[in-house]
Amino acid sequence: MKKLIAIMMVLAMVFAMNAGALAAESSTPVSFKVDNTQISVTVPTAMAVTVNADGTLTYPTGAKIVNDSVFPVMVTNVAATAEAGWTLAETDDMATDDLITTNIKPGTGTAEFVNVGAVAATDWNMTATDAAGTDDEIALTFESGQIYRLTKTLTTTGALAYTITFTVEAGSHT
Amino acid sequence: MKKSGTIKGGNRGLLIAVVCLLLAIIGVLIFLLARNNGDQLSMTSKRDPNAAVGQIKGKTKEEIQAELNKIVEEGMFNISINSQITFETGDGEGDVRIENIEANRLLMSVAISRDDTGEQIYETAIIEPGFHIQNDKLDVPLPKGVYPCTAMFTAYEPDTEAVAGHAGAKVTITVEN
Repeated sequence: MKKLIAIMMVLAMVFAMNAGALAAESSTPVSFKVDNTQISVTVPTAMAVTVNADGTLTYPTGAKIVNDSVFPVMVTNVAATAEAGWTLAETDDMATDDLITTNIKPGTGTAEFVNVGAVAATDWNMTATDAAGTDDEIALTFESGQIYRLTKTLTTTGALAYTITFTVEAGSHT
Repeated sequence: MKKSGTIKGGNRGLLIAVVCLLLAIIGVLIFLLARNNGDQLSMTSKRDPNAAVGQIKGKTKEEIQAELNKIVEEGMFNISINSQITFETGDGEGDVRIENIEANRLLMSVAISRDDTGEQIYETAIIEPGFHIQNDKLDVPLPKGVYPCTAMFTAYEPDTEAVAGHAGAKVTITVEN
């Protein structure tokens, strides 16, 4: 009888151990759910420019667009709109007062007139935020700025001359 | 015969007249010079106590550049929205997930318009930094379909609510039923 009880206890232990082993082997699936549709981008909304005595413009050097998303993002449109009383043009027409010419350059790309419109160049691409959490960005350089036939009285508080609106979209230009 | 070196009475009178004339001219010249000198003296005699030694102090090129860069830095604005918004029905709620992150200094509002018609179908009121809208209904219910849209973000100064800038994000709205 004692032997029978001992055998049953041993079997119970064996089953218990097996059960433990089975429990250890039965994995609990843990998945990382990425919020992969949230587009998050940081853009400049305000930029001050100084007008030099000869009409040339001095721009900030820190303007940039930053992709905070977990997927690539591209700039699809750059629209510059002149405020009332100002004119934005690619070149001087030798006649219009308060005419501004200015170019924008993405990263090391090609500079073009600031009212770019629809964008297709790969210079406007940003990669996804990497594993280390580093965001990709596009440095914006403004150049060739000039005001022709300035008639307005500018003050140190500044006069709004034009607005640039960037539009972004998930994906990359090819 | 006339003796040289002697002046007759008529000549003496002429000489006196000439001398007087010369004295008058010299007197006028002295007066004029004195007046001019007086003007100059009066200019130099009044020193402005507010005047400082040296040239006018203006901002250096580097200081101006730093100021411009600071304005750009302060105007950096994060926009965040679900790029694939799904509505079970056209008049139901969808996961818009619009966020004005806490790091933003500016207030925010968002308007969504259809790319095909330009019609505005959704608009938020002002959203403070640190607040978000998880789900919301469209202002204009849409029938079943897929709609490429543009979400236009407007940034406002927190104290005056003056518009500080705009930025757009392309989104796709799907109405399932």
